[in-house]
Amino acid sequence: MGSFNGQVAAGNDDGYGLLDGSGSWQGTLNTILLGKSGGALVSMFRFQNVTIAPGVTILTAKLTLYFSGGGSNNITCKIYGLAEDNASDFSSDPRSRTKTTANVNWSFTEPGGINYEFDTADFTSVLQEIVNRGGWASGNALAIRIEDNGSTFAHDANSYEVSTVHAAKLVVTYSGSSPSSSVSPSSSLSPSPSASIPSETPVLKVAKRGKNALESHDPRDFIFHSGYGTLKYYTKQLISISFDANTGDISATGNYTHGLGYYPFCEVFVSVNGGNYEYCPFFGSGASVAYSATFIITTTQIKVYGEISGVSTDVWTFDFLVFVYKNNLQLS
Amino acid sequence: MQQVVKVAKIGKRGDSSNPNDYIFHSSYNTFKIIRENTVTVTLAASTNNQTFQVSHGLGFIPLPAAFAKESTVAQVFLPNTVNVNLWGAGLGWTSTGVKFNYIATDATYISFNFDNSSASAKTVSIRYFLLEQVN
Repeated sequence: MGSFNGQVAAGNDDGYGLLDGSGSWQGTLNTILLGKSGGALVSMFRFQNVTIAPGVTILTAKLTLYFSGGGSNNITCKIYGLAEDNASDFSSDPRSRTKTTANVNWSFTEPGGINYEFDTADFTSVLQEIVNRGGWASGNALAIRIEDNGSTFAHDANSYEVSTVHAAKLVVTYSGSSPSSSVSPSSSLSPSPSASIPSETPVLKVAKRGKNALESHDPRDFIFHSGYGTLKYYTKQLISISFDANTGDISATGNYTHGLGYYPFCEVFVSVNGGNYEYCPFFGSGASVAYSATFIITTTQIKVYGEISGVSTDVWTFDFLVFVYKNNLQLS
Repeated sequence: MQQVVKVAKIGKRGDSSNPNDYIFHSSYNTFKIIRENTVTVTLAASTNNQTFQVSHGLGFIPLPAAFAKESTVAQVFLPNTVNVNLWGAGLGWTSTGVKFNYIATDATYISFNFDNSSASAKTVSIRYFLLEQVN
């Protein structure tokens, strides 16, 4: 698992304004208002150099804001991101920029205090949409947008101008491919975070012969690298189906119950009438008949199908070798 | 002597020379999942040969694997086949109208190609995996 912790790092990286776009963008004040004041507000926060690799699975995402001021009113918002590969700063009014489809509701009761640390609701889906963008790359900038959603008052959060220490923070955890800055000796069994190069996540990696485990960040240089997932082999099953074309049957089906409760990664090979195993789905033909095999995956079963078309009076046998891996396809 | 890291399967000896006796053996490369992600596409109605591209940004041609799921059908199907909907011994299989023709990769993009012969647009989610370099 990896993590990223960032903070607003420039005056043009936070601000607020009226949600309807009227009035001026407030990017240099000592406060960021959230909620409603003179109208529904939108507040934005930009984070530079976000070292989250594309394609990772976001586990948690939140902003940590530092509130100053009193009150006990309820503030109701929606949290979006900016739908941009590499978000530019807010030196120009950013309110009309495209926001993400994903959003989450966030409601809170105003806390009192100065520099009071307060977390937003988790917006994992918003972060996921951003890092899933085709143009997203580790080191790009991203922006979070918080819109009023029915508040009657506004609350003050610290801006970068009032306190660089108490500017908004972005806190993310993720799983999957992560940019690794750790150092580990080749062929080592023990995760070994380096004392000389700061690392957020211990890494276990075994370099290929002739490759440098200490310097390379290319996954192709490794036999194994704990920053990258592998296929987790679960089981191999043989499903044999047959039908007699002489009776008019042209197809048969079979299944294996994996019972995993999710759609698993599978590979299937099929042998027709004792021939070579071919990668499934498979299509073949003889002099007067064509034959084909395919399969589908459900959350409980692998279902295989074999069929022929053409002229045949033979008994046909399809032997399916099904390999199931405990890798959840996460499709819904 | 070369250092080796290896983990034998239950019941197998750690000094076996058969790679099939191991869960992991550092002399044999493991397929690393360099990238995995889900993309959702909308297939236009009554339209074949629809291609959707995603930039992977790897700079080399990766080995791909992909699985597709229509939003309204509780099953996953693969490239080079239709989404089997009905089956009968004397009829063979019929589909929802959606066929996942192929997945292809180059140094920049992953391409997914579908046919949709149904009269309705279809929403399809594709889980793809990029494993190692092809060339």
